[in-house]
Amino acid sequence: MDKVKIERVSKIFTSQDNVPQTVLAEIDLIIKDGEFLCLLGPSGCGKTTLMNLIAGFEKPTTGSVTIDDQLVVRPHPKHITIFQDYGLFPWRTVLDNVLFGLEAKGISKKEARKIAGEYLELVGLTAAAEQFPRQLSGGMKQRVSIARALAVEPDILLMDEPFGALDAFTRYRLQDELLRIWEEKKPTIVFVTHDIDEAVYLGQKVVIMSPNPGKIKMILPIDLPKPADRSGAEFGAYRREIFRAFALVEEEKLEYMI
Amino acid sequence: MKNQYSLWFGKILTLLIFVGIWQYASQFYSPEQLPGPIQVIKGIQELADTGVLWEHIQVSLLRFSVSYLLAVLVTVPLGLLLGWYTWSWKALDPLLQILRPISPIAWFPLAILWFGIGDAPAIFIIFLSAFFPILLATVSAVRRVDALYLRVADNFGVDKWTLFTKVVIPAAFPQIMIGLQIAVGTAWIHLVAGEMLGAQSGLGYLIVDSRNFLRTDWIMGGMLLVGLLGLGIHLLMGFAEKSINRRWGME
Repeated sequence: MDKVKIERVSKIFTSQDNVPQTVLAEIDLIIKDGEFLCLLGPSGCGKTTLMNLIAGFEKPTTGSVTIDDQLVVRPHPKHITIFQDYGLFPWRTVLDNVLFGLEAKGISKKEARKIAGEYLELVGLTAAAEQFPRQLSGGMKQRVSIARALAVEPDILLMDEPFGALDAFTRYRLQDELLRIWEEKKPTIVFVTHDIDEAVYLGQKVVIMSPNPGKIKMILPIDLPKPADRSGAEFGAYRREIFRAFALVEEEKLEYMI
Repeated sequence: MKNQYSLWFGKILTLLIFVGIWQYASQFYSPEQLPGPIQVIKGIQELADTGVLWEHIQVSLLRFSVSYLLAVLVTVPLGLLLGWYTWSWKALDPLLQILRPISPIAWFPLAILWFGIGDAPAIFIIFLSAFFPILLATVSAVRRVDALYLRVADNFGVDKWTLFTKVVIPAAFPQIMIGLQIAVGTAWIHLVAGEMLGAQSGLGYLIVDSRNFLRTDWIMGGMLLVGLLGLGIHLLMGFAEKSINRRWGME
């Protein structure tokens, strides 16, 4: 079933000196229910903007974004975004951060605590419940924000380079945890990244984007068991294919410059 | 640890040198012009013995607390609203920029005309002196709340009131505390000014009144006490700020 439909979407930002800049041009994309989709591309390719349009933080200049056939006009608690900088509230403990979304939903205190406890357990942070974000490592902070997002049972998770600020080992571990959680809860995930390995490892589908203006270059279905063998031959083949796609982008740019 | 000791050594040494210079200089002047430190301490002792001193201190502290708390209670909510509704701040900004450079002391004649002699003019002036630092800090604290927090809250679908009370206010709080701390300093400075001009009691009044008797030792004693009490209040505020920040998870 189609979950998200993006039809002929363009996004034009106008800078302060009135110069319009086309960040996204004529994007068409369909995301299926329960799909794990990665938006991959270099900076400036509009992948974050595309995610913000799905999240409802921004509106397209032309075209439409619909979720479950409903036009997206504003953010919705069923579509939760996870940011690279975590977005945790420093004045709230880990538990209270996870409770935030549940409070907003109007769930009773007792019930909310129970749910928050379950999700903290899911991300392995039960012991840190009473700590403040500043006391946690980056990886732990991102786990809290994942728990906070999942606690309200969203059907779409939008993740904007969520592991971009973490060291490689922590990143690998969190990737595995995310896959495990996805297998368990089956939300639709839109995962923005500029890391080719990460996209191949996580995504069922990798949407490769190119900049100036932001366009979809190629959609590559990844047919690998999850979790995949990072050093396997098939994994390597997908990587090569993506590299080739990006090399193509470079060639075009060269021609353009001549 | 060694560093700690040398730091304290430096502090104490500076004070001792200051007192030494004061003592030395006082030899060249009459006690009416410049009493030495020992004479000033004796003067304070004299005031303390008659019980007048304690009364003045009490009155000053009470006056200060009332006006400062009043300023906090009025100005923080005002600043929160002005910071949140950007248009209102933009509309008020020119007026405030004109009023701000006017020293609170300049309001004194008006304060007397409006409120008469007594506690009210002093309270009014202290209030004014705390008003601007608190207002400006609160407004800028609200306007500088991390957009990411607002985005997260928006995503979870909180209503405007919850957004304001559970996200904006706590996010702005540490910045507001800095404004409150600055305001304590300026308010305390203007306490003396307010009491010199209108009141019949308090440390400011003690200083003016002592001039009438040419009791320079009492004048300087009053000044010394204003300084020491100011230091005490500052330390207390710092302590409060620290413990609040710790609770806020900001340390």
